[in-house]
Amino acid sequence: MEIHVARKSSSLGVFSAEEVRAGLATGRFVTTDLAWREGMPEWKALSEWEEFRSATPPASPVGLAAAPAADLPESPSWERGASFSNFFATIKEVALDPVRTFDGLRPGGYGRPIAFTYASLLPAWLCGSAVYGGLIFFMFSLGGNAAGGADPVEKFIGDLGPGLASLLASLAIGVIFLLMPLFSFVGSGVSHLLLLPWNPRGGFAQTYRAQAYACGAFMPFAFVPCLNYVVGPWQLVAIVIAYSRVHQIAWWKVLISTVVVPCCAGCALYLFLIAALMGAAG
Amino acid sequence: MIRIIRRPAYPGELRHEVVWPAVLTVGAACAFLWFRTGWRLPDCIFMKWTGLPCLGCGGTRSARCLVALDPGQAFLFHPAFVLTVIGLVLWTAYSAYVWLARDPMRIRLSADDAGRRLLRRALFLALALHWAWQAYYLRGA
Repeated sequence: MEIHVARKSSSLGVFSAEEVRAGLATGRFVTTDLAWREGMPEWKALSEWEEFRSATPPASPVGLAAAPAADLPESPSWERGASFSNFFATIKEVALDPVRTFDGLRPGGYGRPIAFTYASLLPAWLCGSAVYGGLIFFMFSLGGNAAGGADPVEKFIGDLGPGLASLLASLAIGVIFLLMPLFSFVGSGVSHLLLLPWNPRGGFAQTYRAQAYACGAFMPFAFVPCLNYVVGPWQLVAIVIAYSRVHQIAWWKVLISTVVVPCCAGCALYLFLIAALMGAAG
Repeated sequence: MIRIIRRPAYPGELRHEVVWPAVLTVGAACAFLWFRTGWRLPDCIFMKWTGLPCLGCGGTRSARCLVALDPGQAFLFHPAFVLTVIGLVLWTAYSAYVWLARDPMRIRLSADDAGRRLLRRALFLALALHWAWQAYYLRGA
C-alpha cells in the first residue's frame, strides 16, 4: 500500500513501503518525517511505525551524522551556486514548490539574490526588446497610416520612424533592466515595514532575498505579451508564501500587509487625486 | 497512477480549503467592481499583431457573460475560464462542508511520477485544443 511522506510542511511524495525502508537506510528520509497511508486517522513520524524500526539508522556516529544531512537542503538552487542548471532549477522550485523552497532559504547576503535578479532580467530584457522592438518596427514599416493616426503616442512613434522607435522601446526596457534591483530594494523595504507589526523572524535582508527570488523567478515571463497576465497572480501567491515561510508569519497576515494595505492606500490616493482634480475643475 | 484520496492534512500543509474559496471570493468581488467601472482592459497585443488569439483571449467577455448570467455564451467565449470557475465553486462548497462538519479528512489528488507525466501531457493537449477552439470561435471577433 502507498505511503505518503511529508517533511516540514512539504509533501515529499508517495512511496512504497520498500522505498521508505530503503530511504531510511540511505538517509533520504529521517525518522522525524511524517507518514500516512489509507486507514490511518492521522500522520505519524516514521520512528513510530513498527515496520520501519529495523530500517531506522542506528544511533551511532554514522547515523547521527546522516540525520542533519537529510534535512531540507538549502534552497533555492541558486544559493548553492550560479549556473544555468541552478538558474532554471530555481525558477522551477519557486514557481512549482514555493513552500518548500522558501522553507529552505537560509539567512545570507545580498550578492546572490542580486545576481539572480540580473540573470532573470537578462532573458526578459532580450525577449522584451525583441518582441516589442520588433512589433513596433513591423508596425511602422508596413505602412504610413500610423503616423497620421489620431493617437498622439502613435503619431510620436510614427514621426520617429520604425528603426528609431524600436530602438527607443529597447532602451526603455534596458533602463528598467538596470534599475530593477533598486526598485526591488525599495519594494522589499516597504514590504518589510508593513510586515513589522507581525514581528517577522528574519531581518530586512531575508525580506529582500525572498522578494528577489519570488519576483525574479517570474521575470522571464513578465515581458511576454499576455503571459504576464497569467503569471501575475501566481507571482503574487509566491511572494505571499515567501514572506510567510521566511518570517514564520501566517499567510493571511502577509496578505494583509503586502496586498490589502497597499491596495487600500492606492485606492485612497486615487480617490484623493480624483477629488482634488474635481475640486480644481469646479 | 492518479487517484483522488481522502487523507488528514499534515502539520503546516497549505490550507487549500481556505485559499481557493478566498481566491474565488476576492476574484468575483474584483471582477464585479471592475465591470461596474465600465473600464476596459487594453487590447490583446498578440491578437492585434498576429490576428490569432492568445490563451487568455475571450476571458473578459466570458466573465462579463457569467456576470450577466449567460453561462452558455460564456463557455463559448472561453471554456477554460468557465470550467475553472465551476471547479472553484464546487471546491468552495466542499470547503464549506469540511469546515462546518469539522471533518479532519481532506480530498487530495495523488499521483506518482508516471501519473504526473500523464497529467502534464494532458494539460498541454487540453491547452492546444483550447487554443484551436479560440482560434476558430474568436476569429474576427
